[in-house]
Amino acid sequence: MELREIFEKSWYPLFSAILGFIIGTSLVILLGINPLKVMMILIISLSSRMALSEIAVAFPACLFCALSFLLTFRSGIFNFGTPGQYVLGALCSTIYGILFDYHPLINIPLALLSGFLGGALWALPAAFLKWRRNINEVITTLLLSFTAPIFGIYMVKLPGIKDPTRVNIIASLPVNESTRLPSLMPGAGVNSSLLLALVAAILVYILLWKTRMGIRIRATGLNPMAARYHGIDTDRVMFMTFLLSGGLAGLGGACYILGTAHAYYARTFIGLSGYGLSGIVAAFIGGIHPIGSIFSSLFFSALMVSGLMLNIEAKVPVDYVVLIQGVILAFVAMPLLIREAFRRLGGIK
Amino acid sequence: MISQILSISLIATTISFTAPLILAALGGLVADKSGVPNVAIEGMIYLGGIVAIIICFFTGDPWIATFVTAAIGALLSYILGLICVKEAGDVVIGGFSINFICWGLAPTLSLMVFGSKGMTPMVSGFSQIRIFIIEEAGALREILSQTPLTYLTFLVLILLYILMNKTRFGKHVIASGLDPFVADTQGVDVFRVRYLALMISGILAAIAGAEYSLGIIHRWSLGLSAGRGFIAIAAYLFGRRRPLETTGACFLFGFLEALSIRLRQVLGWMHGATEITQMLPLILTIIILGIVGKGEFMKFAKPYRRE
Repeated sequence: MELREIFEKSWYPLFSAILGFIIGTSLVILLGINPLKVMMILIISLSSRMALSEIAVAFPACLFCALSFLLTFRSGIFNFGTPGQYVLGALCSTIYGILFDYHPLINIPLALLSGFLGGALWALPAAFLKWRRNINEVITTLLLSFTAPIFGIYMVKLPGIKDPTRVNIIASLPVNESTRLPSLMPGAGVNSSLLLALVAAILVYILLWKTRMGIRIRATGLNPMAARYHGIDTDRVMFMTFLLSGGLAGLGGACYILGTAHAYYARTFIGLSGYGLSGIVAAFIGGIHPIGSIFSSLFFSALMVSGLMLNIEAKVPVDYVVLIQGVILAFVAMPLLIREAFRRLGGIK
Repeated sequence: MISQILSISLIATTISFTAPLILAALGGLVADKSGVPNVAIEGMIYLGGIVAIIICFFTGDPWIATFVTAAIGALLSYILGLICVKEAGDVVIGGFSINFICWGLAPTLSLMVFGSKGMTPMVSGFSQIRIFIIEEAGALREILSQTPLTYLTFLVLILLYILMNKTRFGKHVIASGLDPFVADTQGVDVFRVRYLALMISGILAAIAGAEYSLGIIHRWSLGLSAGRGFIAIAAYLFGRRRPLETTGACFLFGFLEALSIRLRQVLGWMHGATEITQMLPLILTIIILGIVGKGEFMKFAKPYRRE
């Protein structure tokens, strides 16, 4: 895809993101809060140094989930299992990090690999059922996503993994020093998972647009029937993409654990909340494109961080951010409306 | 131990857990038949639960709470209709936008009203109906002592069956689902039919949420729906989009849920029993779908746009 083309196509998502953000924040008026105040908090809270380092922490996880979602979307699959695969990636890398202690050069890649495999493992049932039985993947991936946090609690409670000194909360032991990702800026929380995520975005771009596999994936997504007549084994392509996508979401979870949290806290992985959902919206706003997703993930990780400030300043919970994401997604679902609005404004196309 | 699990109360629990599933699944079935699957059932159950608790907490009347919840469900599905019917948006993306809004709004409401994000205080809600004809405490009495909403559910089941099979509206729903273009040229107002079908589904899903919160656990918590909306969709897919088969599937999934609760009580001493029993219905649903589901009937329909 040409750069100019990306720029032109990015108008619609950008417009829906801004519109969704404004309308989503304005809805606090129903709760009796001044929407202007909320908007000011959301924007001003980002200027502090602490917020910037928080964004640097949230960004890799969000970007990995966005990459995971867009990869399957390109092959015509809705992988709503991203939240679950993210949890499993975090869980598996935690368990690896507790049990094994080698030299960091060996241990960090292996810990990341275990996160990747964990995510892929959680995508496997849905992928297999889609491949062999043609079961709708929206249902299976979501059921798996709801199962993942419960499974996480079960695993973390096992002796040898649970931190016995923590009585009030369910948390794992901290991972070994040798598995922790090196920090880029000491004291600021910025760690090398940031670079990993950016490299992954470029790799996904190369995979989708510069390799033979990428042509197969996109052909399957655009028109599976035509792709099949051209000799592409579409079922196999979908299966492989599905597993790869699960792995990417798992890497997001692994980066969060190995880079920032260093232990699995059950309460940060409750339900479907978290970066898995943000990643899905970020993938849409990024125009289902890896490079676009870099920018949209930045926006959504900023939104999540400022949502934390919203909780402190205006007593509106972080979950309100999910509502804003929902409104944005609603505008994404209505491209014709956006296009019509553009025509009325006398704008592009 | 098996006799401990397979008791009379298991049947009673099965019925009380099946009723909301039937509401959600049949509502979803009507929407699906009209050609716009409602993927937002999950979110509507979730939000319906908290709205019912809030209204019941302040008015003290569960029936008013149920009506307000139904109105909220209708409003949400009207918005979904705007996205998926009027603007011909993608059904899955549009449905998920509503899901996201509900997932965000419910904890927000809980925090704003009760000051706690995770759980609301207990609300008395609906109490179980006592059947006075049966005096002595026996098996039949235990099974029949359900909340009024559960009885209402089975009434709705009959009404929906009549609506879909005996009335003109039911024919229109099926026609606009089979081929919207042909239905439109034959004079069926496809858009109106789809709006109405979505609203039926939204109202029923929200009442299902009220049934979970007011009738069963008497409070709202973060894990109120926990995938039950998708289990409802799985139920009508498993029931091959037929009302009676769907009801049967709901009984199966309701039984799995009741079984998991019973197992939790019996095996509570075991390590990780809570988590394993919580995962049980979700995993078994996937396995059941994997065993029986095959072929084209698992696909979601495409939106219709007048040329």
